[in-house]
Amino acid sequence: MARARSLRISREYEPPDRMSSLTSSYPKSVADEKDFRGARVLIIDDDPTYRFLLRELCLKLGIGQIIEAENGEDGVHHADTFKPDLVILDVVMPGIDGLEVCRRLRADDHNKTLPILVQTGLKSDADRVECFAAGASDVVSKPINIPEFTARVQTHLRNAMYAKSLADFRQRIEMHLDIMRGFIKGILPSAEMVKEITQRNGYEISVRQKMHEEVGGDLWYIHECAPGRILITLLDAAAHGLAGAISALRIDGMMQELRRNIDQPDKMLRELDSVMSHAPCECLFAAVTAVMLDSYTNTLMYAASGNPHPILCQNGEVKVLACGGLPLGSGYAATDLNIAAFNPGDSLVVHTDGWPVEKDAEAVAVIHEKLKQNGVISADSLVGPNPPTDDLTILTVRRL
Amino acid sequence: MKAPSIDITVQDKDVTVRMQGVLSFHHHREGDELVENLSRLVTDKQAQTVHFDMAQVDMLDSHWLSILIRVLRRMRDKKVDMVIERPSNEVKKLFEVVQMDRVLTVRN
Repeated sequence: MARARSLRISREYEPPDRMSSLTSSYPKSVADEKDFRGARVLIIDDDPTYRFLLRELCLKLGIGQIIEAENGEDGVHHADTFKPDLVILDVVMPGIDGLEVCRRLRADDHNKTLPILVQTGLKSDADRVECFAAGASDVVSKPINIPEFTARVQTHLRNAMYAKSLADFRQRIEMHLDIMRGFIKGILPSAEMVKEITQRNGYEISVRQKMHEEVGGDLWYIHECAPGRILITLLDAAAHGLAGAISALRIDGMMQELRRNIDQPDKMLRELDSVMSHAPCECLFAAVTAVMLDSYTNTLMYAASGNPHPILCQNGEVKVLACGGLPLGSGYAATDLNIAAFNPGDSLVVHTDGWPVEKDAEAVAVIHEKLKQNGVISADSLVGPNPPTDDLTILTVRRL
Repeated sequence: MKAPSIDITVQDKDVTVRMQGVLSFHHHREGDELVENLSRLVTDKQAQTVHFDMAQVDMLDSHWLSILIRVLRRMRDKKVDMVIERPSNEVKKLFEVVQMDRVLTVRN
């Protein structure tokens, strides 16, 4: 017998700066920054000799833009117009002193994280504490120690530039997330469309969605297949956040064509499983529930793959409609067709696995309780106040 | 979140993947690596069966369910059997919902 050989794959969490190889716009490491040509420094000091000295020190560091103010009022004004990356500020000045300048700068939300390096001849600990209390980021003594001063300026500028690049990066990501949210909103059925379809066919629908992150992989749709017959689909892509949203949009696109020609939900899911499993990307998976309601025959046909079981409320009873199998995309999804009566007064609850109920029995108990309290069931009454640990969609349909 | 532990051992024509900890979307890199490494390994070693020992798995989410399905598809392409051994209670719950035993062998 050959000796067992071991191959260990264990990976500790890696710090995010590895991502810089993926995008050149990702913020660089703080310690690497030596180029201060893009930095902007404001010097506020009433002593022209000191202003000259500080300017020369900044120029030696390669700082690109430096402006000076000879009093506190001008300093506050320049901070507003010049938008510096660092302020070097004297304390003792005629007019408003450096501490008041600090307070005024910090009062502006835009300057909450602005590095303010206060230089002061005041020696006591209490004086230094007062500087920090006024909003100083750092305090250096006058007369300045040049090596120490330049080291502090470099440190503050590096931090400021890194913070700025992080803020820019965040802004770009927010923009892309906004665009993604727009795409998703465009896919989801509008309130008007839902009202029109449901009123025409004798149903009432309520839906609540809560995403775990800024965007998510849950989508739902309603489609009128024929007079009296509507199809509701609920999709939960097997990913979170941006990846989940992209997958969900892609799968919904595949479903568009299938919805138009549907006659049974199980066939639609089987076709979708086949299409998804043959997609170039092998990572496309989703839990899907498809329910077809027929108001002429008072029936519902349903099939599901991977989602929690639908729950039917009928004649005061709440029961689980067992169905389901592997998520779609595997190529092995077994999606059986199920049929149940759906009479006036009956309600159906379908949901993704973001609803924090441990098992079907708990879901049934919750729905029972809400029915007792309110007489009817709605998605709003089922969604709790806590933020979800996974994307959540709850949809209820009532036959009028 | 702490990374899960995934150990792969080879004995004769059997490959055993021992998984421990929480398997979630946060560990997507480990999942992708597992799919690729396992694929290469079964070819190199001409393995006949891959066993997934899941006794120490605390939690498995939908993303890792899709990892298992990706492995299953690749193993089927290579005519290699895949068996889930000793799924923990959390894993069993998920497998019941998705009826995992309809597509592969699950041994308790």
